[in-house]
Amino acid sequence: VIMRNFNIVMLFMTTLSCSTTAQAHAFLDHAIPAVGSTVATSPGQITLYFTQQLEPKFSGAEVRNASGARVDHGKSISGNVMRLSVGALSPGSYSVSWHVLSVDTHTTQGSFNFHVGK
Amino acid sequence: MLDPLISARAIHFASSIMVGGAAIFSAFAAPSLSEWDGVASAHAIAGRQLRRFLLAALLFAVGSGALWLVILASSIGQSSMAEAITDGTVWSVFTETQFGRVWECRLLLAAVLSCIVLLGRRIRSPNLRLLSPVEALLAVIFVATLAWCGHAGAGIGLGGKLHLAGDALHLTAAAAWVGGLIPLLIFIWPRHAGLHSLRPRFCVLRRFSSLATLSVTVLAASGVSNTWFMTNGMRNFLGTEYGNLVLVKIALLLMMLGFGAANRYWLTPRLLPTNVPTEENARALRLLCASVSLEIALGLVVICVVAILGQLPPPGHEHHMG
Repeated sequence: VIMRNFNIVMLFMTTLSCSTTAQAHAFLDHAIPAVGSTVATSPGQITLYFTQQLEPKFSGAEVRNASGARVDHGKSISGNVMRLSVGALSPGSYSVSWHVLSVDTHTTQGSFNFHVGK
Repeated sequence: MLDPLISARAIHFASSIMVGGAAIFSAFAAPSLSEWDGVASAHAIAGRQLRRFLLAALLFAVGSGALWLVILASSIGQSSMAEAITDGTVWSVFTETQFGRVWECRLLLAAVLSCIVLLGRRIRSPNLRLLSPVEALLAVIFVATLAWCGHAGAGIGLGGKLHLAGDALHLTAAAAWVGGLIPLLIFIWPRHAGLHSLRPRFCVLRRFSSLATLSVTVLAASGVSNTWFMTNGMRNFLGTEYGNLVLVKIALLLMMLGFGAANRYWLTPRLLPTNVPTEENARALRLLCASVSLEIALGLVVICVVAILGQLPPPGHEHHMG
């Protein structure tokens, strides 16, 4: 009897849980170089700071130059910080596209640009 | 449309809360042997019922948790559930994420708890509580560790730790009140197989009522703390989807409180033990069962709201998309 009542309760609850979801939780808080900024010399690495801790396995980013070629050589993630090695960047515009999974299991993505040189 | 991830979360939340609720009910509200008018058989029947309820809740928790894991992996890998299993995404999520590691611990807890409950029925003395302190402790840890699977588990710094502690407390308090309602209904049910007098029911109701009052206080305090962290110090509360859902949750909880107050101050005193149960006693008991049933239904709707809240972005953070 208990099991049957429990099943009815669970069925009732499942029926009620109808909704669409908005899955977006870890957002870019700030970056170095800053979003949309211009830096005089190549930064060596791009550092992205997020609002929540990240899952390294399912998080990453790409840095591309104005012609669309990838210029990043590796990533490291610790807590809410993602670092991208880029070596010496020649003057020009660069775009950073990121996708992350926060530890509360929600995915987000975004992109920003920065400029190297005067 | 039915969202499978929210459904799995809701079932998992509800069943986990009931695991904790059964344990806390046993520790603080269930009748002792003397309250059963010295009838050991009635006590034994009640113990069996509570253990069956706990095992059923554990089964649902493990099943819905596994479903949650597969649906989540399929969502992360943007593939079908079958592909997520075959291409290793489910395994990666299980072994390489915080969600998965917390799940490993909780799965182990569920297995140990099930074994203790199954073995305990053979060795338990009728003088003991319906569930042992070890069983109760494991069940409470099982529900409290759910906090690591939600928003609170992703916080940073001291604020993140406080948020996590508040959420674990919130879940435990929810288990004590909402999770204890079905065990309460089992014990006060008029046709309970081993129970023919009103006295044990009266004692159970009084103790549960005091427990629920304490739980509501903790729920309110930890709820304010959680909302504070989630809405940037309440600055992004009003006018957001998240804030509106929290208001719906509060309204539902106030309705539950109304039923709880009616049970405590109006119906329970009408069960005061008499030598011969009267028609008024019987009517009050029927009304109590109806009232507790409605509280359970409202509690389940609240859990569905919580399952949806867990999927919403924290209000006020969306503008940082970079």
